[in-house]
Amino acid sequence: MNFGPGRPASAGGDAGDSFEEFVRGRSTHLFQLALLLAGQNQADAEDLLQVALERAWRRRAIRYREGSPEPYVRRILVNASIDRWRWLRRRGEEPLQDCGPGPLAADPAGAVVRRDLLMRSLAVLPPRQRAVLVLRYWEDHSEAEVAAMMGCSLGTVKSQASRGLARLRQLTGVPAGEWAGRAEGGGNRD
Amino acid sequence: MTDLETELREAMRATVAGARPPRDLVELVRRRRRRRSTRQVAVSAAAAAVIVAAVPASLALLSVGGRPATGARSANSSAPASGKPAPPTKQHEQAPPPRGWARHRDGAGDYIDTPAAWHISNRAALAEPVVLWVIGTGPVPSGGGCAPTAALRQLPADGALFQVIDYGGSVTDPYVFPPRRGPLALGPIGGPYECWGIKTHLMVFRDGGRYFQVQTVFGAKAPASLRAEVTRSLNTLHIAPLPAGEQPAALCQAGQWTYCPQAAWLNQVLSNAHVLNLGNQGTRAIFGGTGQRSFALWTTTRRGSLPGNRCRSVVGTKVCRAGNRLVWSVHGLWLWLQPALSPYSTPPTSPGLPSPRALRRLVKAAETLRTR
Repeated sequence: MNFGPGRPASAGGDAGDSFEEFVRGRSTHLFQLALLLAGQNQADAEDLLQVALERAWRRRAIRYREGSPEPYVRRILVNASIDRWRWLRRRGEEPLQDCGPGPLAADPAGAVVRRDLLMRSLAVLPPRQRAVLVLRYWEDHSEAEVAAMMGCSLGTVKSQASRGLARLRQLTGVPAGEWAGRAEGGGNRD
Repeated sequence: MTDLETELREAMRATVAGARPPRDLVELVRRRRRRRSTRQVAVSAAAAAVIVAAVPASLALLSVGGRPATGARSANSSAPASGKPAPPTKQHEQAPPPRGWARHRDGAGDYIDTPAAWHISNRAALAEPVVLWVIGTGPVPSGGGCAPTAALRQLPADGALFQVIDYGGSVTDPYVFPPRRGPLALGPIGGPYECWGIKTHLMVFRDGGRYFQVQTVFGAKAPASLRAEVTRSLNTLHIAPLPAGEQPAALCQAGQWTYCPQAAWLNQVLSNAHVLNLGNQGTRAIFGGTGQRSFALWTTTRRGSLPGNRCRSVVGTKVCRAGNRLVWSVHGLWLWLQPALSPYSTPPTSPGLPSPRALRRLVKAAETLRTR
């Protein structure tokens, strides 16, 4: 199947097909990554992924002639999510504290509530911090790999991760060291 | 790994587990690719005509402070030859830049004129959207994450720096971008914006069916005359239009309501009524929110009598209930409102109709603001 009209000859005869294979094989994972980067906004995630894939397809001949397009797609996803955040920022932020229940409940739904709060807190982090945490903890990359992926220094990744986690603790109202106890449902907001 | 890190990992895994991309993802990307290719064919044809007609002008843009003008985006000549270009929106293509100024092209039919001594770069860190140009009165070194950070650090106290971003012909919120009708202005100062990390002038507009954002900063000692000069430069911006079939009017005609003028009108109505704009989740409606309630709003052309029953007067306007929707007539349109889930998780809202007070504000704002 031809991925698009007018494939440049320099891309190689089967470049379009192999890119389609890549999309089919990796789209679920990349979409889930986009979803996390976009703060769990489905529409934004779909848009981000399309932007990244379209751009990667356009540049396939020069960017990854020898290897997988995935690192390039991932980098575009991160960049685009950061820029989208800048755009959304103009609408103004809503403080999380006004947005819902606290982190804890001693009922069976407590875990779901905690998870929801954690994910909503992740969604309001600055995009770079969010991207670092997603790449580090969801994709299980090392700090050095994240630094290479994001085009920044190892120190920047460390500091962004540290600040991101600190902010998550702050937003979820759970001080460092107390997360485990709360997470087991032993805590109470009062 | 700390407990928070572990829980974060598990929460992320649980949240996205089972999330699947659209089934027609390949086709969606292919369509996006076609739209861009079609536009590039159109603008390369226009650019070729310009080169033939204006050789002296093209010679003039060979130098920007002694170095070649940049042009990162090259036309894709292998793209399909479909799509007739829309008539250019500006007629100054043939006019050379003013004396002492240079013209900078992006290789896709767009250009901007600046004083020849200014510096320009299009080597932006952003992969998407496209940064057409970063222009400064001082040096514009490359470097930065998603903003021209290196150039910003070297901004002279009496200098200026601005960036032109091209979102292409497809944006999430087309109704936010006003059409370019009169002269461009710098826009209000807002922020601090992500990436830049500082307050900047921000201006968005639509031209030739494409959507643009310009951010401008001035040094602390920048004279008023420099602001005028930057504004003058911005107003030389020439945009190669999209093919007629890709213009907002065509998209509107094809059913993408958010590209219609009515969406821009409704966007302003929400603002005037102090209703939180929650964006959209596609191309059919704009989402609004008041308090803990979220709802979708859209318009259709008025036909026949007002649909629905259980009507009542809201600030003098007859508002009827049609199922779980409200509908009323305004400026030759039906304005619909329906409880709907917000596209955003924050602030958390539940689908619901606005409070009577908020509805009054909405009805009044819609009645007061004329459609364009």
